[in-house]
Amino acid sequence: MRFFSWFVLRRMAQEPLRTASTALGVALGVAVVIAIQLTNASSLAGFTTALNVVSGRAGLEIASPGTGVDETLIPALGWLREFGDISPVIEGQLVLRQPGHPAERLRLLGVDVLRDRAIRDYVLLSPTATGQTPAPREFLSLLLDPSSAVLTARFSAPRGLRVRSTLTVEVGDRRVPLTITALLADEGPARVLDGRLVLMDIAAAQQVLGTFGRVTRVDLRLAADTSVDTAERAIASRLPAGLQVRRPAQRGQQVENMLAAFHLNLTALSYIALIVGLFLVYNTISVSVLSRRAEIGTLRGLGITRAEVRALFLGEAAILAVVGGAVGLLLGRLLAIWTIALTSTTVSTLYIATAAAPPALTWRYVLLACVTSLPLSLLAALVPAQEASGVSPTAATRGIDDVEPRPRFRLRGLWLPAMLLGAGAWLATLGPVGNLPLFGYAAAVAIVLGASFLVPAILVLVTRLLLAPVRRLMRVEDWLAVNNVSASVPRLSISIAALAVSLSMMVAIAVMIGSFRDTVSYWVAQTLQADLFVSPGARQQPGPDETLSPDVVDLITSSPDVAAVDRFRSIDVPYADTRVRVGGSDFDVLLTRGTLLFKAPADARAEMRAAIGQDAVVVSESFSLKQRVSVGSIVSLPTPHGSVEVRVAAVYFDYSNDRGVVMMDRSTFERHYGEIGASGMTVYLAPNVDPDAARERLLASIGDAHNVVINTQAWLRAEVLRIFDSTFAITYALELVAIVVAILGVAGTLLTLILEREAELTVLRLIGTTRAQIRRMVMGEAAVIGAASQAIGLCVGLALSLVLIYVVNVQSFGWTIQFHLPGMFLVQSSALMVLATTMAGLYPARRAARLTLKQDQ
Amino acid sequence: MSALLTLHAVTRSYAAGETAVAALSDVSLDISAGEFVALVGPSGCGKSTLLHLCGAMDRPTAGTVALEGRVLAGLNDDQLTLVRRARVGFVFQFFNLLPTLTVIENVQLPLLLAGSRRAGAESAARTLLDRVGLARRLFHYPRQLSGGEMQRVAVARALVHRPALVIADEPTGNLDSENGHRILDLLTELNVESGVTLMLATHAPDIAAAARRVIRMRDGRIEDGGPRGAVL
Amino acid sequence: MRQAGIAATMVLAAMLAASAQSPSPGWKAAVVGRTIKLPADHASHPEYKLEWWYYTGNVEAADAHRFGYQLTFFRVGLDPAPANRSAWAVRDLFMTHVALTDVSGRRYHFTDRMNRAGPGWAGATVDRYRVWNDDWEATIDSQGRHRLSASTAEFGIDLSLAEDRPVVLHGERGFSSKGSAAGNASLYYSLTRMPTRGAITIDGRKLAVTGLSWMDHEFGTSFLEAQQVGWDWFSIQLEDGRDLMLFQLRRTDGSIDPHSSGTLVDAGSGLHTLNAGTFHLQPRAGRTWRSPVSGARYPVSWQVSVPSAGLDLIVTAAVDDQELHTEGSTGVTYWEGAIDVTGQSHSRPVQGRGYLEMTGYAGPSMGTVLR
Repeated sequence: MRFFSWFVLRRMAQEPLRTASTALGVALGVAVVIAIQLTNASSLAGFTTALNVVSGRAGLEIASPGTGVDETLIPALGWLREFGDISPVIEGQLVLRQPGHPAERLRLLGVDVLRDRAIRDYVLLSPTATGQTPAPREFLSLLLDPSSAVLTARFSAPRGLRVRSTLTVEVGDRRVPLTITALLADEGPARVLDGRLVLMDIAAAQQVLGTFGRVTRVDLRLAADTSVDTAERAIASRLPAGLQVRRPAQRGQQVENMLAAFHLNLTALSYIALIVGLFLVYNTISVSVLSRRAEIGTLRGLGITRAEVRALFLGEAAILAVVGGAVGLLLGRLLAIWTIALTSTTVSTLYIATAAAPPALTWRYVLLACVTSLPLSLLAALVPAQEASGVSPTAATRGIDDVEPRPRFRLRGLWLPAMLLGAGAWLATLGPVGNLPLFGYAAAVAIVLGASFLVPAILVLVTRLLLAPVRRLMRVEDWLAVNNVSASVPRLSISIAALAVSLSMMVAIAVMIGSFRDTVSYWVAQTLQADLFVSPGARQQPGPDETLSPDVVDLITSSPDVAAVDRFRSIDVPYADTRVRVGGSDFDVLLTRGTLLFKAPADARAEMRAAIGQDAVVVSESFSLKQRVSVGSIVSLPTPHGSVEVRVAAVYFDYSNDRGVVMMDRSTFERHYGEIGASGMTVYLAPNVDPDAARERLLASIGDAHNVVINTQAWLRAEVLRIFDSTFAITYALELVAIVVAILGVAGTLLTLILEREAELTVLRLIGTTRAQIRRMVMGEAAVIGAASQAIGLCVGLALSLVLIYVVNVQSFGWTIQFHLPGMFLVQSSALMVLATTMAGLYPARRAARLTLKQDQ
Repeated sequence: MSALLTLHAVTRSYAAGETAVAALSDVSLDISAGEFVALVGPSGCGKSTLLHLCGAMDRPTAGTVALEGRVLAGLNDDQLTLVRRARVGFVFQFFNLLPTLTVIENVQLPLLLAGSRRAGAESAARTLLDRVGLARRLFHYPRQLSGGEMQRVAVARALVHRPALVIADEPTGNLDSENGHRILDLLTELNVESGVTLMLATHAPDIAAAARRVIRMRDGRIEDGGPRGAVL
Repeated sequence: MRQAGIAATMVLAAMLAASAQSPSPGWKAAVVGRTIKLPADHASHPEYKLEWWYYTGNVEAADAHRFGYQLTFFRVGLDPAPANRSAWAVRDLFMTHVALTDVSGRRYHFTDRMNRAGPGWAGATVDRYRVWNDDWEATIDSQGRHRLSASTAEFGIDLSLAEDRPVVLHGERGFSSKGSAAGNASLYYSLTRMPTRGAITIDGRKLAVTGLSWMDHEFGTSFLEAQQVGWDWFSIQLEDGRDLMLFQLRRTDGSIDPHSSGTLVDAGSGLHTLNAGTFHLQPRAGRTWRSPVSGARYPVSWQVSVPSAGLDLIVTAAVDDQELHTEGSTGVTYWEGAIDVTGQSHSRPVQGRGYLEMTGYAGPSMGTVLR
């Protein structure tokens, strides 16, 4: 151990910068992984913690696809008491707008307060004004006043709300006054959702949400000696058609499945930074081994065994990993705040409305940090450590190491990269696993690995080609720089490969996103044809329960400005193991006024017209790809009255949602799901009516009674692209981290090379090289490294982008994307990258220039 | 002939913890152009320090060093570099060639660094390499050469820019005696041919014997062969 | 009278103090002259704020295994016309207490339920007699027999009761004035001796039983004076064919409220109203039971004397622990249990059974709750 401290720790301490930059690289890699795991967990946690609160002790729940359980069925479910206590539940979303605060979403939980305490625990904060008032009274008071609500102390206190405060919440387009009857203490259910919970009596909740006649579900708390499995089976066999029994966790599972592709993408991206960090470990240990061959030889001469030498270097890697992992864990937690902010909009826009808050750093994450940093770092260090163990005792006496000054280009070294690239191409042709493009990711990994192994060969070729023109056209220090890089290929290739890999991902993602954006903006221009889009003010997608009031619908429909409207309604429906969106829309209006972009069949419009009034639907491309259905397929949709078989009449392009949409004519929709209001309206104006003016007139006629949002076509088109861009902000952010790590690697490598080349630099200085010339030479090396990395990154990135666009995207999201090269972006980012790498040479250059000439032997 | 190099009351000390250790103390010395001077003395006597000061690699703690009448003490690092680039050549025990450059590239490098044209630099290098007998080794890399050959390349590099002074620190120390003598002969010949001043530090008495002037050093002081104003 | 306090307590627990102020707008007040007709008036009277159906009885199995039971349905009106059109809007609360005393096994079981009508899982119909709370139910069958059924995880009752003896209308032909304040009255009748048969389920065994039950049905809107601490209420069925109902109200100052009263039904169904001062209810010294749950101390043996009827009786709890807790719903705790009666009628030995209710011994005093 002492030996380890002498040989390894002291050395690491002597080179704090290299040690720190490597540890930081590992830390950043681990941090990104942790942050993304936390982010993924948070978007789910928002949902599942809410689910847990809301499920309480419910072991099973009875639900109905569509908009909820018909309450008249409930008395007939009395037999459920054989299995335990039942309690009907209404859930919904409220929006609270307070002056000085942004609009906030609150989850409304409506329960039968007389029965529900068997299922859920509530702890009321005793109002200090009345002191001795027994807590349950406030609950019972909920019965009397339909505006009476219980909020959490956690939410209320910072907003100056207290017992007997009144507030106005928005539901759909309506404004509803509430009075706070009591506050929930900051424990248990009240803690989750960051306290954004409103508890009401079931009757009041029904009135507030306007969901008369329906409850969201019926919770069942199983009696102590009842097995969930047995009960689930027994209940399933007795429930009437249209009602389903399930475990609360199944809803979480469905949401998890829904988010799986999105999460997998983020996870895959996050591992790039980690892999780059591990490249750093490999690099550092390699350099450590190379630069200490003599030392190792001496040690071997003194009787240290090979295994001990290997252990020394693995120990160095382990220290880097542990330090990096620990720092990464904490950094990841900080980073998560930011990544969650970046992703929560996406998740709540596209998937589920959830209050995302970073989950606590549990042991699970500590374990993840250890598992990602330690074994992988050791693995990364294994090759150089093995090499170190092979150093012979005579290395000490020779004094000069045996590295070739100019590595030769060997054709023999090309079979491995060739095989990997071939494998990548083959993997890209395979189908998805489940709905996840695992082979697609494997293809990307194979391509990246193959390209990495090609890096030395490419570097040798490129620098050799560069030498002559640089010598002829540029300064001597530039020529020396190229020459140095060329000579250091074995040591540099790892850093360059790491940088090239992250750059290639950046390029690939930029191309993919650029293409996607291009496709979406074309799609938006083609399909968003209506003049105005009306939605309830309190609705942010996805809020299938929030609807427009009938009087608003009437008012708009009858306006003289309006030529035609399409009222659409969409609801979430469980399908296979996920949730899809089922929509009802006026096909006639859609066909005559609007435009859908159809994928199949050729006469899609005729087919769609023929579907009116029939049990026939049009489905989105992502539904078709993910559920493997095509035109003519029969799809079995769950409805409140049991399953209904519908025929797929056409498939249309839709980039608004990757979960899949099944759209039917409104008449068909109402037949199966009932008349349940409109989630929104698209409005086609009469000729020569100015959209903005029409919008103002409609809003004025609706007045303050309802909060309705009316957007113009231009605004909505811009909004779609804004949402699009925010969705991919995280992608760029993750990539940036990977690139930062890679640049750290370049800087670290350069620094090491300079320390190693001390003697050479001294000679250069002696024979008249000025400090400025030395600096320029080192920066030149950095520039060459950056340029080579960027060049490799561009080529590999383009290949990867093809995999992303044609394999990963299609398989995980079900979207067809037209390839489009964002040329300007690539040129700019390339220039920026070369500049950034050159800047990474700044410190090593200064170190090199500062070398003192004194060399006392 | 005027003095090429003048040292007056030169002291060079290094910080060693709290105290300063003098590597050279109060050394005065004149060296005329074209001289061949050998520095001898035991390890740690201050030979290398004196060479560094003479070769514009270092500045004295006290006293003055003047090369061709120019006082080096007042120059900054870049100015010292320019002095070396133009007026000084170096040969070291461990050859100190750049391993990534070919023989001819190594030799022409000082000229290129000084901004000479490529063609001129190349022909100058060729000429010198021809002179040291390596005309057939121009495009080899240093590791492909023997020790003696490498040192001959180093000698060529030290002279390619026609310096006024060549500093040689144990140039034969890492060579067998045959190669050592060949290098010494070469240096002696070049001293005579080109009139370049040669300062050579060595342990070996037989090497020192080749010099026309021998300066013996001990404990940072000149014991013998000290200041001299004129040529013999 | 007896259950008025319990029901009122529940109402108060259910409502904010502010909304519990009388008079209650929208509810009908009990008035003199409303005649009570059976079986029509067994059904619900939703125009009144409070209503309950109260059954107690002593039954025995063939093997002489003895049980006492209690099944009470309360309807407490909260809002005669809710503005919310939701089916879940609460017009009435339905509370049900069911208790079984296993006298032979010396055990006491009870459960309570509270529900709103909701989409139909509790209620009381007006066209015919049926009151229910989930699967607990009291109704009249086609033969005119009262059918009671309530089962819990621990026990169950399934009984059929005959209306043997004519109805006893309390007060002025069923108009029962309560206290000195005007308008405090209810409509109140009893069936004091109902031959009972059916089954009791306990410990997984179903036992056929027979015995006698007592039913009270009372409805009104405003009942209460505010100063009682609690009351002690006795229903006694003597083997000589006489039925006796007595209660005393205990006031905050320790005195007995002058509105305490009773009714004696003789074997020929003749009624005798007993006013305060014509009977004496005295706890017997040294015979108290302390509840380990509530900490309350109940006199479980009483000296009962009605000099005008020549009755001098000792009433003793069949089982000491017959305390009912409803923390899960309203938080009310009271003692309600089967009793044994021995003593003398005109100096001749007489025996009987019955039910005793004691309130105000546990928890906040009724007076405090009433504020």
